[in-house]
Amino acid sequence: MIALAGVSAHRVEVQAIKTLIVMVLLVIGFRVLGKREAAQLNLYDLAMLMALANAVQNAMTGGLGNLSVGLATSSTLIVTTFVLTRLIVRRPGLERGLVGSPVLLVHDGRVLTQRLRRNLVSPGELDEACRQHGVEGAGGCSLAVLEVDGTISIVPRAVTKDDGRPATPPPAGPAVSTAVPTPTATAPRRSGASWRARRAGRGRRRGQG
Amino acid sequence: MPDGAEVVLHQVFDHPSWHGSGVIALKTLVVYAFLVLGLRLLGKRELGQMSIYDVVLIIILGNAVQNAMINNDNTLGGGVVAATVLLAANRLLNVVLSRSARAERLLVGEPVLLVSDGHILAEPMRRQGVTREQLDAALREHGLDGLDTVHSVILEVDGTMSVIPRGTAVLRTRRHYRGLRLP
Repeated sequence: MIALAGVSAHRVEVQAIKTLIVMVLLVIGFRVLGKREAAQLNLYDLAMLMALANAVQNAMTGGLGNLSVGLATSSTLIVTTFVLTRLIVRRPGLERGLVGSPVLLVHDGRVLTQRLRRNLVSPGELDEACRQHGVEGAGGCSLAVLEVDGTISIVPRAVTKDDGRPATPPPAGPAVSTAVPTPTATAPRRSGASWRARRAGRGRRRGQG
Repeated sequence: MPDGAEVVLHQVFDHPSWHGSGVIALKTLVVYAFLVLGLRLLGKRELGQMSIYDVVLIIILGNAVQNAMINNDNTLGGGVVAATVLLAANRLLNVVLSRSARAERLLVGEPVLLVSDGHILAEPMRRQGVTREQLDAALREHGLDGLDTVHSVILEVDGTMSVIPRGTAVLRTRRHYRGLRLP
């Protein structure tokens, strides 16, 4: 076979097994030493990833540039990833072990410093995530959760009333109550809700007619 | 145990000598420290603002330092040693960054205040190279159409702009942004 020229089938098998071992060790290594918030990689994390990929290259290929070795190692990687993904989907317990579970970082404006440290989230990164959600700082969060995909979700606290913005929503227009007599009588008097109610009522009427 | 399986095991779990492993570990550590310093000197710390050329640079950097790390070592053990050192060094850096605000400011950068209470701060805008068009685009992205509805706009360390509308919970954290000390 041309694809196997220059290297024995036995050698290709050995490299495939080595690739599998490297992959498994990397998964364990990232779980133990890696950073949870993968969505917020900094420049040095990216550089580390690139250097890491090259550092394990020769351990996988054995320094061989043959096509057969390349195909064997890359297909081993793809199959391993596929199996791992299927396993994670099948067993939630395994997902907790390999990917982790969501971590509460802020509760009612109170920053849980210990958890921040354990998950390697700096206070600056937490504040940044808050601002990206339009909250000025961690104190303005009702909840901040480090999700398993590495992003930080923010649930803001209730809006304060110090800026002159009307605290109550504007009253619904007069046309709303006349459009559908019965269903909107009990609906909350907010323009959005009544608009939806009106649409629903209209659809229902059309269906009956 | 049959002879063939033993040979395969021996071929799979090959490793450099203790001395060789130590050399690989030290070299990898030096390379990582050099990469951190070099990228810091590059000046571009904003991942979100990286162009395709910056990404290419980092990929090429990874290839350039490969042989310096593992020293043409083709064994499984050598790769595992180098990978472990890289992961551990990066972990250490992230521990330092998450605990020391000073180290974070030095290596990752500081967020910069661009708009304060609806007023554009011209000097930080100019120094960060943010144009009025980019600012307006960030406002539109957040569904705001004018500066009068904006409490503050902050250029984050990852290069994105955060927009805080008026009427959010007011907190005393603004001293964290560079640029507020300006008049």
